[in-house]
Amino acid sequence: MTGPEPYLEITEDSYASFAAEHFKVEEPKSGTLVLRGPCPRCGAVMETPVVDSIFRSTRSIRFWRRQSPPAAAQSHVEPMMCDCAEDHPDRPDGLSGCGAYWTLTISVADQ
Amino acid sequence: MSKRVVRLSAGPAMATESDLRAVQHRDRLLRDELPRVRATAAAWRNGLGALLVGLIGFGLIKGRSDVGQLAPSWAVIVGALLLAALLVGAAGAALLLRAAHGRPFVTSAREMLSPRAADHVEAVTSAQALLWGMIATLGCVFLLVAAVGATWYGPEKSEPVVRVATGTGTVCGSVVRLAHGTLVLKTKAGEVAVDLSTALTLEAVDSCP
Repeated sequence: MTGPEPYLEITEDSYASFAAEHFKVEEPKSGTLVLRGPCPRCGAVMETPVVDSIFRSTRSIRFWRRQSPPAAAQSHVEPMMCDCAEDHPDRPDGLSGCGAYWTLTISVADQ
Repeated sequence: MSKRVVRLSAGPAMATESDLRAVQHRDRLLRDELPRVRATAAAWRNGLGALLVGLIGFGLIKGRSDVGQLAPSWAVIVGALLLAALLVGAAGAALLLRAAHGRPFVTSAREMLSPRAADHVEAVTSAQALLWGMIATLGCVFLLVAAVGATWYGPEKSEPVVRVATGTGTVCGSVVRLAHGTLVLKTKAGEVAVDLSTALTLEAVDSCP
């Protein structure tokens, strides 16, 4: 029996097409998307929020707004990584997932 | 009503290491976002609460003890400012508590399908409550200072005045003294003595012409 794959920061062409095919998209609130599906490398189910803003500062009240248009309202390219909760050996402290990363194009259209 | 459709496709180019670092940074920010908002809100709640306690409890700002000494129109203004300060301060306190501790209600289980997204939505809502709570609390302080300033600089209530008509004319002013049938009034031109035996009418009026 083999354990979980060790942590390795890696990307392959097939990761993006695999994720595009298997991931489901939800929009629980305007401006917030949730992408859910299996990691292309380790296969663990992952859940990634795609958000417009993040509260960052503990010293001042402001929002960190990404320069790109709102994720849930506009089409854009979203960098992704595996952020599964599995325990992958050799993973540095403070990181999550197995190390796989890729990009997805999120297209929004009105029907 | 149109329905929005979100589609996924492979990115236009291979992801780079800088993409990975950006996503890792965003992932860390998202995971700590809600505790960060709560800690910030608790700090602001304590700081602004201490400021208000200092201003009110220890009398750092203090006006007249009796607004009844003010001119009636200014007393109404001071009362309105104090009422507004109370309402705005209560709203600010409620918003700061909302930001620091969350809503005092149960959450629908259907809203918890994505815990990380739910935490992010709660963090954004709490941060907005924190911002408005800070504005409202500082607004309360401003209104309190304005109310105290109005009691300091507002005009005093005018003294009661009387108007005495005699055969030679009319005298109007506040009473200084009355002795031996002579009434001394304080008028705009100074003190005037009136022999009451010559008075035709004597009436209290709101103000002198």
